[in-house]
Formats: sequence, C-alpha cells, structure tokens
Amino acid sequence: MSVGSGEALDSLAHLLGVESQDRTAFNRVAKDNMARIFASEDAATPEIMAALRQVLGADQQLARYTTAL
Amino acid sequence: MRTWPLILAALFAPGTVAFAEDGAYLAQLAARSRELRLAERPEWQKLLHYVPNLVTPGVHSLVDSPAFFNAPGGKTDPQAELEATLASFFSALDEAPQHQHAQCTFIGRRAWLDEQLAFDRQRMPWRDCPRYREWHAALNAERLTLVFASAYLNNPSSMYGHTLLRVDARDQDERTRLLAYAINYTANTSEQNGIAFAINGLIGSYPGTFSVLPYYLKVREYSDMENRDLWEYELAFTPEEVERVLRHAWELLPAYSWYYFFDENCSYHLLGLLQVARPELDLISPFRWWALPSDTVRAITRQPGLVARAVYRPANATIIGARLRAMSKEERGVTKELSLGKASSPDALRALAPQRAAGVLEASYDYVNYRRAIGKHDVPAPAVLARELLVARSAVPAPSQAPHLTPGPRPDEGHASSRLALGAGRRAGQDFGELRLRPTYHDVLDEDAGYVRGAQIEFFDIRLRRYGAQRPRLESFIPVNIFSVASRDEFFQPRSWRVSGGWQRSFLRDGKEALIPGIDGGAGGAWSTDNRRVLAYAMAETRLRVHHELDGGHSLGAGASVGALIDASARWRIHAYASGLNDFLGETDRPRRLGLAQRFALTRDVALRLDLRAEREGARRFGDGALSLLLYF
Repeated sequence: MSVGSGEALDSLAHLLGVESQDRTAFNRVAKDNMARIFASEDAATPEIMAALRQVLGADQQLARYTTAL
Repeated sequence: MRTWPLILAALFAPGTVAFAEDGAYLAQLAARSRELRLAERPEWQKLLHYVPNLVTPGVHSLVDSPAFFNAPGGKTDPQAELEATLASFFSALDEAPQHQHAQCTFIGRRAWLDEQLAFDRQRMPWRDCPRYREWHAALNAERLTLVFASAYLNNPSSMYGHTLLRVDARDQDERTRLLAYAINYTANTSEQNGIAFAINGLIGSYPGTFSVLPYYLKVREYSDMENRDLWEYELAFTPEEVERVLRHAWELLPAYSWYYFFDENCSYHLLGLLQVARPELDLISPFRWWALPSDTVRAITRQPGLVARAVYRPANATIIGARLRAMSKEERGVTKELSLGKASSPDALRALAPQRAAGVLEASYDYVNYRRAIGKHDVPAPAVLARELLVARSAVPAPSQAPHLTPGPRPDEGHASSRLALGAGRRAGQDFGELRLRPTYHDVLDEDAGYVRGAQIEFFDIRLRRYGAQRPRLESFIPVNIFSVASRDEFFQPRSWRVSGGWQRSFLRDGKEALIPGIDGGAGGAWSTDNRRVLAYAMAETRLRVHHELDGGHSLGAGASVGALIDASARWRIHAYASGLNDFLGETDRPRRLGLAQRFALTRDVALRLDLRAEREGARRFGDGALSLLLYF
C-alpha cells in the first residue's frame, strides 16, 4: 500500500471488488492515505476497515466500493 | 387402537421397504464389481492408498485411521472394502452435525464407482452432500499448483524442502494468489525440539494429516519467517481431473497416516493425493523408500505436459539481498540506520532522489520485518518503526522499487539427489579402491543449481574400501551429516554450524585402524566476497568418540576449523580446510587435518572429485588422497 502497488494491495482490491478501470485510482488513494488507513502500528481489523471506508467514501470514483466493507 | 398406526408405519415406512430392495441391488452391484474386477483397478488402489506388501503377497493401505475403511479388514482387502463401501452408500442414516453420509465422506469413491457401475438413483437414493458442496464452492477451484519451499536446515521437519498443493480459485490471478487456499500435509505434533522431532519422525510416532489453510499463512511462514524461496508449479489438469483431486482431498481430510520423516512424509502423501487425477498417473511407486520433496517435484515435471509453468517467489531475505546489491554504500548505510530507528527518514533521505529514497525506505521496512521474523529484538518498538517507514514511503512520489529477480535454476533442474562414487587412492602409503554411496542429498562441494547454497545434508553415507588384495572393508558409515554455511554481512548474521555422527576408520596408538563411532559438532560464522565466489568459514569444534580400544573407552575433544569454498569456474569448486582438535578427556590425542577437495562437473549428473589430505592422528602423520568419479542418479 505504501508503494501504491504490489501483491497485497492487489489482493485487497480484489476482495473489495475494485474493477480494473478503478485500480489506478484505488492504488493512488490507498497510497496517499496510508497513514490514515493504518492509524497506528497496532490498529485492529475493524479500525482499519472503518478508516478504509472513510477514505474510499471521500473519493467520488471509489465511494461505491465501501459497500464491500 | 392408538398403537396400530405406529406399527403399520414402522412396517411399511419407505425406509424399510427401500432397504429390502437395496439388499438385492447391493448384491447385484457387488457381483458386478467382482466381474469387472474393480478392486484391482489402479483408480481404486489409489483412492484407498494401497501399496504392495514388502514380503508377503497382497497389499496394505498407507492410511492408518480406521474410519477411512468401511470393511473391518479394509486396510488389506481391496475387494471387501469395495463391497463394504457400496453397502455404506445405502445407509439410511441422514447427515447430522456430527455425521456425514458415507456417500459424502467417501465422495471420491462414490464418483468413481458411479462411473463404473452407473448407480441407479431410484434404487440407491442419491445423497446431496451439503458440506462438501459448501467447501467446494468456497475453494472455487480452477487449477492446482504444486508449491515447493526450498531447504531450510534449521527446521528438521522440512529440512530438505516441503511441498504443498495450492488450490487456485477461478476469480484469482497471478497478482491475487495470496488469497488462495492450500492443502498441506504435516505431522501433527506440537513438538518444538528438533532432535525429538527427528527421532519420532523416523519411527513414525506422529499422525500425519491433511489440512486446508490460507496460502498467505504459508507464504508468511516460509517466505517471511524462514526465508525460503518458493517455487510454484502450475499443473495442467483438466477441470475433471481437478475435481477428482478435490473429492479425494475431502476424503483424506479426516484421515491420518503415521508420519515417517524419510518416506511417508509431506511430499509422498501429496503425490498420493495428486495421482488420483488420472488413472494412468503413477507418481508414488518410485518413492517407496525415500521421498525427498525436490525429487517429488522432479517426478511431477517428468510427466509430459503436467507442469504448465513454474513461478518463482523469492523469500523476503532474497529480496532484501537484491535490493542491497542495487544500492550504493551510502544508501546501504542509511537503510541500516533507518531500520534500526537511529535516524529519522526526512533527514536521512534529504540527499537522495525520490526513486532512491523510495528504494531505501522499502528495504528498511523489509529489513525491520526480517529481524522481527527471525526473533531479533534490537529495536524497542519494531511495529511502530515499521509503520513509520511505511508512512514515510507512502509520501514519496515514486513507483515500487521492488527488484526484478531473475530466478536461477529450478529445484527440479539440479543434480539428482543420490550419488555413487567410484574412486582410487592412497592412504598412509597403502593403495585402495573405493565405492561410496550417498543415498541423499547434497554437499557443499556439489553444484548448487536447484539447491540452497551452503546447505549440506547427507544421510546414510557409506564408504567401502579395498586395500590391495585384502578383503573389502567398511571405511565409514555416517548416517547424518549436516553442514550449514551461510555468509554474514552487515545486514545478515546467520550462524554456520555442522553436526555429524557415525562410524569412521581411525588410527589408534597401536597402529591399528578401527571403526570408531563418534559425533562431531561445530558452530561459527562464514563470510563471502562480494562476487560470492569465495565463502570462508571459521568454527569452534567438538568431538566425542566411544570405543573399547580407546583409553577409558572414549575420547572427548575440542578445537577449531577454518575453510573456504572457492568457485574457480562454473564447473570447478574447491574446498580448502584445516582443523585441529585437542582430545583432552579419555584417550588423549591432538589430531590435525589439512585438506583440499575439488569437484569438477562434467555434466549435471557426472563429476570428478579429487580429495587430498595431510593428517595427524594417533601420533602418526600420513597422507590420504583419492580421485573419484561421481554419478548422480
């Protein structure tokens, strides 16, 4: 996520059902907001998901993927 | 009056009526199975894991759980088991939370028997298998991939590699493989002690079982924690062949077999599962005595067209190594400081262009993780540091700096794992001819292609010599010989160590050469030149020998050894070494050894070896030299 690409990020996008035309935007948004999504070193899964929901929800193109969270 | 309907219902309930009819149909099916000799067919033999008995005629199944068989003698009687399986399919017992119907428990057998006998659904009620259906749907399998994790000397359970089967789902691709499931066979034990594990593994005291678990957990274990490169061999099975394997995996999940380290291990049982895919596929019979994971991978690749492609997944440490090699000395310094939390990223990276800064941050993060995984706690809060590095990296506008690693030779492309050596030489003035058999698997002089560099594992190495016209004699028998040489640098500090045990001819004070049992151990470090052509090591050594002709019946010594492995060319490797011991307890002696061993590869499976040694032992000095032809098979 911190590099804006990679296997882990692709897997996350897959789990959220991000379509191929939105992948670039998704990768960019994830990278730019990494510090928010992982708010602390011991963030639990629900917190990370909540943060991810906020971040994606704030983006016009990606807001629709929050339903998967 | 009120009881009549109950009695009538009991007498004429559909179940009872059906049962009467079942009996006739079952007898008909059993007769047909005998007529077709189904129990002798390879499909049935494979589904039940029958193998020929060693001495007596007949077969026995390698599966040891009684519940895997329907007939009391099912473990040794394929026909009885087949008929009992047919009978179990008629069971009126419905699925319950604690109980599956036999048609579902043995869904692979049902599918095959149905193909052969064309079950009449009217006469044998067809059971829906909801649990299997759910499991099957969750896997959503499209392909199967055999995954090989390379050797890891520090874990005896998978010292010479491990294999597992990955189930690739329909909606996944190469980028999302982490989400796949894996079918894994392991010894079921919580034993942490490697030696206890090895001994119990030899005598088969752990139940081995199949389990299904997320692939990313295995990747984390092997690639991140144990730093083993993975090879993924995608298998070119048809959809129906994949189904056969899955149905059989379902049958095997509740079963167990006693786990044997050398033969009935993870790789052997995985082949046993895979070979049900095709009737003609016989993968396990060459592995009755030894099943090395790398050899089982070779068996798969030898089947024409079975492997669609092989994908290399480098371990975390391999990736870090490649990142560091692409860096300048200054960048490596910054990487180290950042990963130890000794510098803050904005200051340390100021002088670097975004791409270089990104590379440094990525490597620092990987290196923090590497140290966490190997249990090195040299930073107060590694998780905080790791997150800081990631956040810092996310702020750098540069694409991923992950290195593109060109994979070396695959594990199936290395030399064969058994070795026969024919040699001639001279020891202490006596000429000899020598025959040496090393059943398995690799030593530090052998070619590394397909193996892990510096990882020597030899089992049951046996050497016979004939001096002049004398009778041949046993020169040495070394059941275990493990030598791990791993180079240290400013980032990686693995320990090098060795341990070996067995019987070896040695000179005693009276000039006799006796076959003396002993164990040797050593620990130290190794260092490599930048071009990796020279790997030098130094170790503290100890040795214990026990023999009635030694003073007090034993001798215990301590000492040191140094050596260097030098790659003179791609085919030619030299091992120069020197060692000295001080036997201070029991029989006292000061054995010394200075040696030069060389291997020259002629082809992948043929090599020449020249061993030259000057020794001092039992208060005498002598030379020992031999030239041998090595044949790997």
